[in-house]
Amino acid sequence: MKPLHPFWVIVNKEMSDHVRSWRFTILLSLILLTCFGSLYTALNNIGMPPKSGGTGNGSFFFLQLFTATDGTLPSFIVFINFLGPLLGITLGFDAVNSEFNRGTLNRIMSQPIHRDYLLNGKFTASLLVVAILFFSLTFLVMGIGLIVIGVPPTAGEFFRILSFTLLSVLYVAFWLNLSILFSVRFRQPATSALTAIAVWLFLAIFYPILIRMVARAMAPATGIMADPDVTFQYQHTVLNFLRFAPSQLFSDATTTLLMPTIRSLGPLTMEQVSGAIPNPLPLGESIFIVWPQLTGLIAATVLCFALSYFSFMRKEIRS
Amino acid sequence: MDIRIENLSKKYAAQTAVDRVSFEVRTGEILGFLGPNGAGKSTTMKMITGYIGIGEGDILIGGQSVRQHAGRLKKHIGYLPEHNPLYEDMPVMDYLQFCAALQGVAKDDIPARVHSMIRQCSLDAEKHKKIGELSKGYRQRVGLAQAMIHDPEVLILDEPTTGLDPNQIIEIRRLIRELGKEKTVILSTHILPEVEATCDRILIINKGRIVADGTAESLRRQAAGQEIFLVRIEDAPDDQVLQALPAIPGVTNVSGPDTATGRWEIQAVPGSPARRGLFHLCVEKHWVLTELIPVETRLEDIFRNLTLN
Repeated sequence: MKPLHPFWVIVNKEMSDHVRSWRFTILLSLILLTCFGSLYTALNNIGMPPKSGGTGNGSFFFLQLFTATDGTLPSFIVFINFLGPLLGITLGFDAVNSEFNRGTLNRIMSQPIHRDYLLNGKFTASLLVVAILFFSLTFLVMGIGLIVIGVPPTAGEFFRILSFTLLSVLYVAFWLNLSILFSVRFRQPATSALTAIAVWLFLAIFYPILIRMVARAMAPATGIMADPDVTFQYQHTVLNFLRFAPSQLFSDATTTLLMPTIRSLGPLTMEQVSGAIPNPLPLGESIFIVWPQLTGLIAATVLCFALSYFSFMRKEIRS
Repeated sequence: MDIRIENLSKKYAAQTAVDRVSFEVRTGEILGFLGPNGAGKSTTMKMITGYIGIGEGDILIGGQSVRQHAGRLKKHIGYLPEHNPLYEDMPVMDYLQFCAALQGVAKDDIPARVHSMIRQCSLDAEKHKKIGELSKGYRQRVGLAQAMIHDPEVLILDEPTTGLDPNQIIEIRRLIRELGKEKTVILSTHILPEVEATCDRILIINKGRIVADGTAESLRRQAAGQEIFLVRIEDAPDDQVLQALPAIPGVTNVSGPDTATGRWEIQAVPGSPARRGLFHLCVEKHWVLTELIPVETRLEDIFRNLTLN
């Protein structure tokens, strides 16, 4: 039998390490606890499914498992938005620097493998673990929802949920790549972990606050003196600045995918709203609306990966 | 598989770690690589194993250049790095399977190779334990097993007996001597008796340059310009001994007697009949010659002379 390709040998080993590690177990428990908590809240607040097709979000009853909340606990998507980065950072912050500090980088690089197999293998293994976790969690939630509600999801709902899951994996992949980049740049795992967490906190919490503060200070006149075009432009500008934060991109995209009635993510003029038919959009149209957010997330992920790849390949490794 | 190093150099910024080093190692030879800390031993070994890039010069393994065929040549090299870094969370068998798979050992052959290495390195009792739970000696054996798992033609061992107890050291030396019969072995160590006990040839490097290359015997001959021996003569006044000994043909210098041992140190021309002359002198003078001890130049002294001066 032919030998296993060295890349997949590294992937297997890394996946095994992740799954056996205590930090992954703790984080997994945290994610499961919070997600089932939000699922319980959602199930209690979903109410009865509509008798006929209906319009609006009521016709996409199954999706409310992921979006419904009564205010006591955030919804499923909010929890993923918050814990996803933590998962990515946990899996990647010591990817390279721990190998360096242990001296095992020396050992691996003397094997007959390409140098980039190590970095690519670590990223692939972490991504596979995240993907398996999220898909399992999603199908578990869907299964529990199916049992409790008794209403199966439609094809449209199913594919929307799959799209949401893929998007969640992509979102975590961004933070995973960022933390791997820091693990290449910084020798100490603590430094790379702290830097990644600092970036996450800044982008998730402080950056929106800063933008809104600046926006408020630069807000145009309101009331009778308000110019609609200026107000419209102002709102667009504020939203565009907010979209530099990956959490905003993720939030926009997931909300649109799981709430089919959402037709726009920005301000709408009266001309745009009048005559619009308040029907839910097909999946394709929803994806079209959030295509800029998707490409933004993909671009940010690829950029982080490219930077970490470049840094790692050029690094002079001395023990 | 022969190894030929040609004018190998490596610089780290302004510091020259290895400076135009050239030497050869033949198949079936165990080369001892000696040098003080920071001399360039590990850097040279890392360049041979392809872990770091070559600065200038070339390394030819089996006639093939490491510059062009590094990936392919790594399959023929087994490397035990300094400090023997291991994945401490992995069980011994899992780790050896991982290393075998990385080396491209066929999937079906991996279990047999792993069991063979466990037997050869006496790891049977510890094979299911995590590496972090092993003593230093067993970890060193795991490192050695990992270096040999793919049956390489070349073994590069960087301080393989560091931290081992005397019994384990003897076992590892025996294993290395056994391996050295068919493989090309480069062994780096600070333990000079180990070099004498294990190696066919010694290379001493200092500040990135080779300062000595030869067998232990040839190095001693080069270093020792004189034959030195210690003698103890009884029933003889010291002043008469001091007067008579320099007159022996071949004797170049006499010093003593040592107040603690009562011995005289005699330096003579190598190969001269000084000892015969001493014996006849004692017979003639009715002196009793109770001790005649030849003094060999120690490898430590050779090493110190070459690396400190």
